[in-house]
This record gives sequence, C-alpha cells and structure tokens, in this order.
Amino acid sequence: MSNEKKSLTSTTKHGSVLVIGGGIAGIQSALDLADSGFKVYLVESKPSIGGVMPQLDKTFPTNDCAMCILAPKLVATGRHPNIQLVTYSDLKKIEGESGNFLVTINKRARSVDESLCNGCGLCVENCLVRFKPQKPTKHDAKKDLAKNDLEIVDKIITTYGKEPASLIPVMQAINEHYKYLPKNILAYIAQELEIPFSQVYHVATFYTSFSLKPRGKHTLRVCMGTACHVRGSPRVLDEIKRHLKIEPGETTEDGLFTLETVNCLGACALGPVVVVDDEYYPVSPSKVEDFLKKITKEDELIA
Amino acid sequence: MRRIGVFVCHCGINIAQNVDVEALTKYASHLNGVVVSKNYKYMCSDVGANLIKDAIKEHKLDGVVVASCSPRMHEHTFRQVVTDGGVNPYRLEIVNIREHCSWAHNDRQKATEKAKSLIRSGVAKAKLLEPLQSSTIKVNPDAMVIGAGIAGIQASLDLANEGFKVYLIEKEPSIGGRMSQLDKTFPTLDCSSCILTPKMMEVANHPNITLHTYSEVSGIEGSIGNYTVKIKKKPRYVDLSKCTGCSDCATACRLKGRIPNEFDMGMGKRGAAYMPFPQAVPLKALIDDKTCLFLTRGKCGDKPACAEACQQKAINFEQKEETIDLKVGAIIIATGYDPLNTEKLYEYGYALSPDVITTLELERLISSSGPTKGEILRPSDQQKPKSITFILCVGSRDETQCTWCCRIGCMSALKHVYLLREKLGEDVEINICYTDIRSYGKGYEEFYRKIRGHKANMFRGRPSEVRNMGAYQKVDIFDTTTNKLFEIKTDLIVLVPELVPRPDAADFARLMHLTQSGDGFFLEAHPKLRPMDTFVNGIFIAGCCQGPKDIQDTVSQASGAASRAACILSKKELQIDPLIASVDEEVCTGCGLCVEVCPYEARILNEKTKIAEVNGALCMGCGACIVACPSNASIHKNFTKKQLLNMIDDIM
Repeated sequence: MSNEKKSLTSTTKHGSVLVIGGGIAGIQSALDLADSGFKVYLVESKPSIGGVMPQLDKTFPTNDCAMCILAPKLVATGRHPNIQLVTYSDLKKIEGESGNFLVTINKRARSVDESLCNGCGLCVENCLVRFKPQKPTKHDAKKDLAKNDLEIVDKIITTYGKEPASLIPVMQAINEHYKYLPKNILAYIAQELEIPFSQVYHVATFYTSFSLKPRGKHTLRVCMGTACHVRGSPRVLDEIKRHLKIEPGETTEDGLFTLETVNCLGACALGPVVVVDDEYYPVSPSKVEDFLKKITKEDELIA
Repeated sequence: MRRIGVFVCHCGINIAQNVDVEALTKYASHLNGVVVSKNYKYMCSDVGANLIKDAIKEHKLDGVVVASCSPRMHEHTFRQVVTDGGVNPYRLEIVNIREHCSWAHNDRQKATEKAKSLIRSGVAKAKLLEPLQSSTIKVNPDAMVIGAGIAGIQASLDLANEGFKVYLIEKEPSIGGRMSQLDKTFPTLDCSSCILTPKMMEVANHPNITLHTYSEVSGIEGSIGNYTVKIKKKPRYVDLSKCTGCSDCATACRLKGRIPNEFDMGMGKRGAAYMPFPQAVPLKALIDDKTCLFLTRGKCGDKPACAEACQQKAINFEQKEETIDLKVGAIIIATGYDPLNTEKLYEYGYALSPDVITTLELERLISSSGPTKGEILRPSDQQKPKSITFILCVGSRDETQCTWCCRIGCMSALKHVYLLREKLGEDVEINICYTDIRSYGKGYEEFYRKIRGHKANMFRGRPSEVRNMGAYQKVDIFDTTTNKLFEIKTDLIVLVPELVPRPDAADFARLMHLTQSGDGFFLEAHPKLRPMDTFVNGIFIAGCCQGPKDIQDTVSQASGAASRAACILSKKELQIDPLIASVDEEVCTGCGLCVEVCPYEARILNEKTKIAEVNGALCMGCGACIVACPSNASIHKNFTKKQLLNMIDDIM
C-alpha cells in the first residue's frame, strides 16, 4: 500500500519529453519544448520527419510554398542540441506514469549508419535497381495448356490463320469442340493472335453463343418467343427445370445437359419448340419426360 | 583582399526552371574577390550546408554569398552554417534570386541576367561586410497575460503550472470573459460555467498567479525579456481584503434593479453597488462610479445605503485610480471579441423591437443564473414564445459589413435549437435562416445531423428585412433550396451576429506596437506556422483577439501561446541581433531628430555629452534614424552608406 502511494506521488521527474510523430505538429511541439530547455525525443515511423506538409505544394490562404516555410523548421529540428531524432521507428510499449515514463521504441533497420551517412546520394545513384522497375517476367500462355489441347488449338489456329481477324472463327471452333471457352486457351489465343487478353475477353463475353463455363454434352434451348410463349413454352421450361434440377444457364451434374432460353428460333409454327444441339423438336409440357429419355437413349445407342 | 564563396541554390526547380544556375555559378566564379562558386539542388539541406562548410575550409573563405530564396526564409539557417564553418555570421550576404528573379519573370534569359547583377552586387557588399557580435540581455522570468477570458485563464494556468509567475490583467471586475456568459457549449452540451468555474477558482488560488481585475494596460516600455507594463487599476470603492462577497451592499443599493447588467447583456438589471455574477472571481462587490448617486452627486439619502449595509466596513468611497508598474519577460494578449453591434443593421429591426435579440442575449435567457432564471420569456410581454426564428450570418460574409465568417454562429444556433426544444417542448416552431451550415470541427457535423432530428425548419437564405408588427415579427425569406418565398410570422427573432474586434483594438494595438489585419483583429506573424507570435518579439496573441474561433481552438491557441512564451521565460539570457543602428560619436551634433523618429523608443539623447545613443535591446534595426540624421552620424551596422553605394555601383 505504502509502496503504491509512493509511486503515485513520485517527485523525481525526468526533464525529457517524447513526441510521437514528426509532422508539423510534432516538429513545433519538439522545437518549443527544446527551446524551453527540455530534452526531446522525436519519434517518427517514416525515414524522415516532415509528415504530410512537405507533400503539399502551397498552403492556403497565403499561397506560401509549403516546403519553403517548413524547411527552416526541419533544419532547426535536426540541428537542435536538445532534440534527438528517432526516425524509422515505432512505439512498442509505454510503462510508468506522468513524470516517469519508460518507453520502448522499435528502431527498424535502416541498413545505413546514420552517424556516418552525410546524405551525398551516391548510394542512390549507384543502386542497381534504381530506375529499373521490377517488371514481372512475361508469362508464356503455352505452358498452361495440356499437350493434346495444344495440338487441337494449334490446328484450329492454322486452319483460320494466325492473325487478329481470325479471332471469332477460332473462338467458335474452340467453343464447338470444348462446348465452352477455357480460360487458359483464351490466354493462348490472345498470345498467338497478338490481341490483348482484355479484348479477347471482351469478345467472349459479348456473344451469348460463347460460354466461359463448361457446358453439357447437349444444349437445350427453349424458345420463349411470343408464339411459343402463348403455346405454353413457360410450362415446358418448368418441366425441364424440374426434371434436370437446373436453372437456365446451368449444366446438369452429369454433364449431359445445359439449359438455355432463347427469344425466338423462327420456328413459330412448331411451337412450343426446343432445340437440342441443332435439332428442332416440338415439345408439349406433358411430353418433356419422354423427350429427355429419348435423347439419353439415343446417346446410349450411339455408344 | 577578401576571399568570397558564392553558393547558388536550385531550390528544386523553383529557381532552376527560370534561371540558368549553371551559367550563374560560372559567372560568379569570375567575379573579383570570388575564389569559389558552387551550386546545389537544395542549399538549405544538410548536404548543401556541408557543401558550404567544406568550401569555407578548403578555400579559406572569409565571406559567403548565398544566392537562394528570400533572406526571411533562410538567413538564419545559413548564418548558422557559416558560423559552423568558422566565418562570422554577419559576413554572410543572401541574394534573393527566387522571389526577385525566377518567380517574378518568365523570360529565362533575362531572369538569369538579373540574377547575375544581383549576385554582382551581393559580392560587392560581401567584400565590405563587418564581423559583428551579438550581445545578450537578461530575461525577466515573469509573464503577463492581458485578458482573463478562457484564453487568458488557460495561458495563465499553463505558465503558472510550469513554475512562472504570472500577472493576469482583466478589464472587467471578474475574470471569465465571454465563456462565463454562455449556458451550454457545443457540441458536447457541457454546462459552460461547470467546466469554466473550476479553472477560474484555480486561477484565484494559484500561488504563481497575481490577479489584477478591473484594470487596464496604460503603457508599455522595454523589449523582449524586459518589459515594464503600466497597469491602471480602476477604483472599485470596495476594499477587496475586507469584502466577503455577501452582496448585502447590492441588496441595499438605492438604484437596485435600475441599471442594465453588462453580464446579462442588458437583459437583467443591477444596482450601482453590485456583484458581477454569482460565480465571479474574485467574488467581491464593486460600485459603478458612473451611476452611483453618492459618487456622481455627492449625496445618497442621508448616508450611502451600501456603506450602512456592509458589516465588514469594506465600502471605501475614498479609493482613487492607481497606476502600478509590472516588470515581465513576455506578454500574452487575449483580449477577446465583441459581437457586432446589430443596432446599426436597421433591416434586422434590433433597435425597433425588444423581441429581436442576439445570441448572447438568448444565452442569458436560457441560463439558469440569468435574469429569467432560465425561463424563455419574450422580452416585450414576458410570455413564452410560440415561434422563434434564428437569422444566421448577421453582418457576416457580407461585403458591406464583415467579409469573414464568425465560425461559431451555425453551431451556436444549432445548440440553441436543442436547448429550446428541451425547455419549450415539441410544439414550439423553430426556424433557422442560414447561408451555409458550416460544421467543420470534430463532432460538429454529427451534432448538426442530430439537431436535424429536432424539427427545426431550415431556410437557406438571408431575410431582407425583419418587420415589427407589434405583437409579432414578420420575416420574408427566399429559400434557395426550394426556390420559394416564405413569409414567417414569429414571436422572437434571434440574430446571430458576426464577431468583431474590441472597439479599442486599434488603440491597444498602437499601445503595444502590434499590427492589425484588414479585419481589425491582431495580426499573427505567420498564419500557418507562427499563429500565436506577433511581429513584436516577446508578445503573443491567443483566442478571439486574433480572429473568431470557438472555445476548443481558443484553448489550444492559449496553451500554444503559453508554450511559446515559456521558450523565452525559461532562458536566463537572450541573444540580441547586432544588425541595429549605431552612432558615429564624432559626427553626431546632438540635434535629437533621431530620438523623435524612433518608433521603438530606442534612441536617447545623452544630456551630458549631447550625443545620441542607441538602446540595443530596443532597437529593431528599422533604419528610421539613419534616414532622419542630417549629418550622417546614424549608421546601420552592415547597411552602411559605403556598403550600399558599392552594391549600387556594381549593379549599374
């Protein structure tokens, strides 16, 4: 108890002050304290004091050049016998109480001896990475392709010609073969045809016939045009959704079917019409189940 | 033959883009007397400083010319640099090729030519510069704070707690200032007197603070570190040592309740003998000699009632005005503001109806220590108002009155909305006519949003006129957000006036040798980096005497000013710049013209020798005496005629 009280009323004070932050506020506090005869430790996390003010060009309302009015204070702070600069450092721990603080400061490695460096700038001039921004090495999209994929894509590209104008036919061919446009193949096309990847992506997302996601073996396109709509295509769609357990734009888990809707297939007389791959089928809601079974059976027969 | 070094600074691109620094350096190296000439990107940096220091040693220089920015900027820096290098600091000449050349001209060729001429003349002067030694003066460690509002109180407490003796001078009978008149403060809605009174008590009881209330500064002599200030103590007619603050005299005064009370902004009445206000420090009565029957007519019934009533026999009509001299090392001025006199703004009808009041008057109405004990009553009929309309920016941001913003009007009106809702309930209509709501401070915008929920009708516009309709007031307001004209009938108008300097600010500025800015407030030495300093060394400013500001900023500035003053007071000795006037005793005829023209009272005519002398501590080196002297006996050190003519010869 008596010990506690003693520490609270301790009168042995240190005549020194820690200022945390070397912006204009910290600089002014440090200078005033130092001029009043106190020892000041000015801690700054950046390698130099100054803060934001030196980043400004001019200050309102007088249009004084910010650096010009700050620089004398920076110099005075650096030169003041009562101020010790502790730059490139962070506060770690504070112990004690008013009048008797013990502050632990983490000085980061500057890798330059501050007492020896005279700021000549020769190390900056001679630094090997100076003015050489670290560019990422160019990535070869070829490396991302499997051997057989590479053969297929190369064949397609030679068919249509290795030039930017061949982009769409090449993409169509790839889309037909893979049923979608794999990302690594698109990157390879961009590299081979010398088109920016962003532009390839731009085209791939513009046309609805291209897909960036893997698609089923068969694509079901349900016509939602006016004539089909009137003749019950929404109910056909609902039935298909129920049987395949997917929404339009999705692919079944077994990879067999991809469901899509289209606005008109130009076969209004057959409506409600569903196109499976390139075959047109008039389908009524009650016949959806049979229709789907028929397609799977055909597959099995072929197999 | 002197050995001069010329150092040309690029100032980044500030100089280099419009002046050919390389050509300049080469040119300077050929000048007579120049032994070395160099340039560098930032001469003021440590690298630049080392470059100069090394050159001084290497080439054994005894004079340095730095061609850079204005000497106001870096003369101090470079003087230190040449001193470190071993050259007398007054053998440094700064040539300003930034403000005078690169910034002023667009033609690179011509700017470079001009810079060459300036360097030529700089070198010509450097060849004749004399080494000077700065002298020292002793510093009086006591401080004076003028004005005991919140700024003065804070500054005094800071200095006193640092161990300096402080004289706190207040014109009014009590300390406290404007803040003591307020009810609550924004945005925290702290009760103003609850947070101020402890500080006032601390001032009263602090062993290091000597309080002089009801006193004014009447004269000042001396300079930084050694000021002698004359204080005029007005007679209070009450013996402070005897008065217990019982206020029996105030109750007994025959004029009780007949004189408008200054503290209540005239909303309440007092007697000739009165207590300033309940929380006054010192809590002592005083007698107003302008109204007291005994003091004005020599007769107050058979015997003055106050003297009869006072059991302590503290009333003393024999008291006379006295003047005392106080010696201090530094002075902080915190004389505060006045609200703009709204009487002269006829369109707002302040003079025409008692129901048009100002914010400070409303503040006294809301305050529980005010004339209505905190009840909001209309001055004309003492009824509760059903509708209250605030008019913001009265005289503010107005070319015909004051161009500036009062910085507190918006927030104080919003605060009043809250307080009025609290006191008058939901069914009172509150209208606010504003220009912009400027809620720039910490927590202010949040406060504004909170008040928007208190059902105030916000009109963006300034009413052209307040019409007194007798029982109510009428205001036409064109709301610029809806483009509609509204006619408001209202019971009470509250004007939020601009803050202006005290009426005697100009006289006070002259007395203290201060400068005023265009708006009449005291001018700081630099708006950004020396906001508490003035152009007079050792005199600092804090609070609203420097410009309108809220309590937060005022307190910060006061603490800052105290800290600035402590920089001087903590030193035992100060160095005096030797660049001042001197007298060639052999030539001086003792005509005394220099004594007359000196604005700093630094010139004395020695009665015995009949020769003029210079007080080095007071001389600011302005040069007035040099021009006035008919016999060339007045010399400005290192600005001698020979030096200047040599400069001109080389320019031509």
